[in-house]
Amino acid sequence: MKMRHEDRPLLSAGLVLGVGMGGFVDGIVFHQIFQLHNMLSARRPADTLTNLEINMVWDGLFHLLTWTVTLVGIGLLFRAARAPGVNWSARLLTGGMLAGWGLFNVVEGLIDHFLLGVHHVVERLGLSIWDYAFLASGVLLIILGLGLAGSGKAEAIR
Amino acid sequence: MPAWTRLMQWVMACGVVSALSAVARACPSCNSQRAREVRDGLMDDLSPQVLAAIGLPFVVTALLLLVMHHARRWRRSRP
Repeated sequence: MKMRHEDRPLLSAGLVLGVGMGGFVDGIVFHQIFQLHNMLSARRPADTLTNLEINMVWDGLFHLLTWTVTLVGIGLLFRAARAPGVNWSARLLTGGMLAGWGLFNVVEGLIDHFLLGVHHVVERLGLSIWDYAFLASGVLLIILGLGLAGSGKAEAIR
Repeated sequence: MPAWTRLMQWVMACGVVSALSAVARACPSCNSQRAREVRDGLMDDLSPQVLAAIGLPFVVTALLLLVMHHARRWRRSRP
């Protein structure tokens, strides 16, 4: 996908914000609301209060990093707002965010679920179809995001 | 184990232990049997594999984004 100079600031901010917010979706939805897994649940099953508390600390460190990435994304968005001639397209920003989210899902899924095996999407099933679905969702988000960002390029520059 | 991972482990261990000890000193209930078990468990978990599991996805994603960014600039600068 060819990017014009005026598209780049918003796309960069969107990609980084997407990585951070994608991490939050994982932590909030899978770790906390549905409690399908925790950061180290393959090593420390959440079957005792002690193991749950230990996993909570590692989940907290994961959230600290997602918070930091989101802060960097906000910084990039602020910088884009001050730069002249930026294409303020909602599609470009949303597309960047979706692609960033997808990229993080693919990388995190490959490293944590498959390579290191510290947790899986549905921990009680171990490595299952859900881990492949998680990777596929990442690829789908990247394709959707890049498509949306591509259509945002054509929008008028404010 | 390479020296840098040993050093990183030591620095992380010092940080985690001092933070948890400070909490334990400040509140007596944090020195309960379970609190001690949690601290011991965290120390057991502290390994390059666990640190990689938490940090590596962010590092790799950032590297990929940087590579994409610079590849575009490199393509543009080609004659």
